[in-house]
Amino acid sequence: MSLFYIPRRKQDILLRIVILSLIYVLAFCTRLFSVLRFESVIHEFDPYFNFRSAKYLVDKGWYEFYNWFDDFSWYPLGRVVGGTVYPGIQITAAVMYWALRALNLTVDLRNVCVLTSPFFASNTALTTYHFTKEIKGPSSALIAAAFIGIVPGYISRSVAGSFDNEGVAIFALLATFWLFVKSVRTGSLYWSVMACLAYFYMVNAWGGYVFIINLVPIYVLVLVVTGRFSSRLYVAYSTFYILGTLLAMQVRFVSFLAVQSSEHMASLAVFVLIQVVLFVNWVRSLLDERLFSRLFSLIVSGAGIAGVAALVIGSATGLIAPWTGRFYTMLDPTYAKKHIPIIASVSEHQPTTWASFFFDLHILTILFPVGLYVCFRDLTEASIFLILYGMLSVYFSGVMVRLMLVLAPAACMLSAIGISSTLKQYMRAIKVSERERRRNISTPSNKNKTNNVTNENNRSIPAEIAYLMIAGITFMFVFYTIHCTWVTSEAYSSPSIVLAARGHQGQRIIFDDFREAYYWLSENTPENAKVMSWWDYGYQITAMANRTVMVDNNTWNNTHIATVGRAMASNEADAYKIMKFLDVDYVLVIFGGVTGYASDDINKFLWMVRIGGSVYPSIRESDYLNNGNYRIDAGGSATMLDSLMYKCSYYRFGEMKTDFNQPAGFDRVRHVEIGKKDFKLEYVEEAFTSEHFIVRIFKVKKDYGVHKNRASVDLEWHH
Amino acid sequence: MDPLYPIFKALFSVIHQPNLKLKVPTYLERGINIWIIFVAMYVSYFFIMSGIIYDIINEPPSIGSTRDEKGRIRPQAIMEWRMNGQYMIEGFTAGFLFCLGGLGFIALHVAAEQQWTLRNRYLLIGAGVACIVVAYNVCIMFLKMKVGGYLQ
Repeated sequence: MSLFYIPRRKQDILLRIVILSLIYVLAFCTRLFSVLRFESVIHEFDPYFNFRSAKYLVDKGWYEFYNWFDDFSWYPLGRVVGGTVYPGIQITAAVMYWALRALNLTVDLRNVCVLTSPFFASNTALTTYHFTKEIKGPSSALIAAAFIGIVPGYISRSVAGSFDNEGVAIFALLATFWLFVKSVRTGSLYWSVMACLAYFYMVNAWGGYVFIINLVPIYVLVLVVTGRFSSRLYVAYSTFYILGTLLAMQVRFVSFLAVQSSEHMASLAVFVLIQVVLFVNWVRSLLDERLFSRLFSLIVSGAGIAGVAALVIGSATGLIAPWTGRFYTMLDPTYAKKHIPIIASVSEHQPTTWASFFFDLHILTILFPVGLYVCFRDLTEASIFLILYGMLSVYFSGVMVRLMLVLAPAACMLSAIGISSTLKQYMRAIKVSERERRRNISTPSNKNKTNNVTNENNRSIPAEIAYLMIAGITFMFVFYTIHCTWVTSEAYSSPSIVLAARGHQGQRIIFDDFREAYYWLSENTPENAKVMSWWDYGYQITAMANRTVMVDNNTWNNTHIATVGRAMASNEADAYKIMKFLDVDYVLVIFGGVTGYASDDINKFLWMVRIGGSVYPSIRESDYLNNGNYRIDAGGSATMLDSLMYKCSYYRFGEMKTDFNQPAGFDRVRHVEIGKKDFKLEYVEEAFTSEHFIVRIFKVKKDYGVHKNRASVDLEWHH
Repeated sequence: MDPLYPIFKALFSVIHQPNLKLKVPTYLERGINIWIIFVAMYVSYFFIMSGIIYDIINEPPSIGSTRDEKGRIRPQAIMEWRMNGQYMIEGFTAGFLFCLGGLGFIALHVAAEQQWTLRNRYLLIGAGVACIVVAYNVCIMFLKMKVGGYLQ
């Protein structure tokens, strides 16, 4: 009758669409704190490389990008960028940029890059909705989407400006899972091909695709073992494996690893297994019982022997590549600490503490088991997938804190399934108790004693209690939202290229030293100058200062990094030889002693020593410690106080008063007076020091006598 | 006939075969109850959430100590102001709290199911709410000790 009349069923859909669009907008907006507070800048370290290469792609086109040899990094080796990069994020940004341009929306590429992650976070929320809907229906799905829109574990890597692989990859990860689960349910070729395309995007976007190519086979194996093998599963997995692997091989960085490396062997083994299972089932349908059981043992032992033989031959001939260090760390968490300091040194590769879990997931840590319980109560193919995904990601995130990112969606979905099923129970209790009350009022005379007793025993929860419970759960949601917003605003929205601190009166002080120094480099040094810094700052220097660096965040060559670490750890004369050998013009160090910026090079120094020592045995960690303590005051070891790093960091710092109550040369990070104040630099000279001393750049003096003959530099390699 | 029969025959012509009776264990024949798997997962959830991998790699002490203003050394249960560090007892306590809260929610879920009498429902709800309230608040209290200026 009315123009705006909407039937009941449609109201439901309309409400869902409204809620989803609100989630979509919210997930985007909550990630904009950093843009509003600072400005639209790229954050951190890796995003600078992604931005630089996206720019290269936009400027030069796809083929130039594909064949890009970057001689600005890893001097003098250079880096084949086209072959050593997961190009998904650059392509995504470039396509969005071109699309906006085609619509005559003239945006800057930087802004596209800054906003890529929030945009994909919104898409992730939508994908989560679909995935959860596939598992447990729309009401859980809405809660899951709302959870993931603001979960800190995911926000930490997808705020505006963090233009990194993970931002796009989580979307691709969930899309792959959703489409694969859907294809298992329907058995339709269409959906498994869609899953392959999503997988292809994922392989392009992030090395974490290895998680998919191992989780999916495990899932299939579990289904087979629990007797849930079906032709739908066969169609879904066979298609996924063959097409997915072929597509993955198209990515240059992966290429033949997709069939050769050990990480991918599980998927191959399961692929063979389901062929065998299907074959056995087929033969069974043709033969009688006795003949079949004889044949069965023949097939099984034959397949087993052939598989083991193939594996042994493959590994022995080197056809199957061994596990990479990172993957091995997943299986044996102590591996990296013992053998690969370069992996162990990265803060995001540290194992996770309970506080990180709670900080990043808040009530989801408590709700996770409920979701597990609900999934177990009613096991379906889809819920088995979620259980496996949840438990595996819990384990992986325990090993490496950055894999919290993979856990966060699983935790959101499980929690949403758990809590929404609880909420539903209590909603139903309200309805039932109201119905009972109405019945009691309408038929008061009909009361029968026995009837009354059974009623008393099976009575549902009174409506008041149910209301109370629902209100309580709603409060938990409110706390969750407050927590997430606070964490996003205070902990995860700092660009780290611009630092902010609180002054004495509580006002905000901004340290913009990094950009100051990088612009100084780009304006005041020759264009072909080579800068030596620790690898953390490599990407930023190439992207912002446009100068050549020795090592950067793509830590592909451990020896080269160890050489730089050795130079930093040696005394000036030895360091000079190495620097001449590497043709270094400038040395850049990050120093926080004046401002109290704690992640400076002095605090990272022991890692330089360890990494240097892992290749050059002459560098020993114990030389830099005093009785096992790392000190830079008067009690510091002589080797430490004589190292290039110490000298560069504390040059002329001894004259400086950083605190009224302390003597000159008081380091505000380590809270000590430095050990050696009055020294001269012999082989390098100070070129630039930023406003707050955070970045210090030293020029390596040309031709300082001794070195002359490069061959005389004796770098003993150790393998 | 077993396909491996010729191999075994050749092998056992050289050595004496041991006199063994092998049987498939009965629990494998019956299949494993899914709730056992659930409990196993719950337990491993507890361990990982406690940061046991951190404990294995970094080997922190079970509780720490701190010096107060008078110079006395006092035991400290929680590594203060550090998110990415923990003592072992602290981690296990927190992991236990997560699982306790989870149990509370499961109790709430179970309470609303069909089979219970009203009295048992009240008991379950009471226990569930108590678990959740305790777990959540203690976790927040812990977090406030580790994160400076939480929610301010």
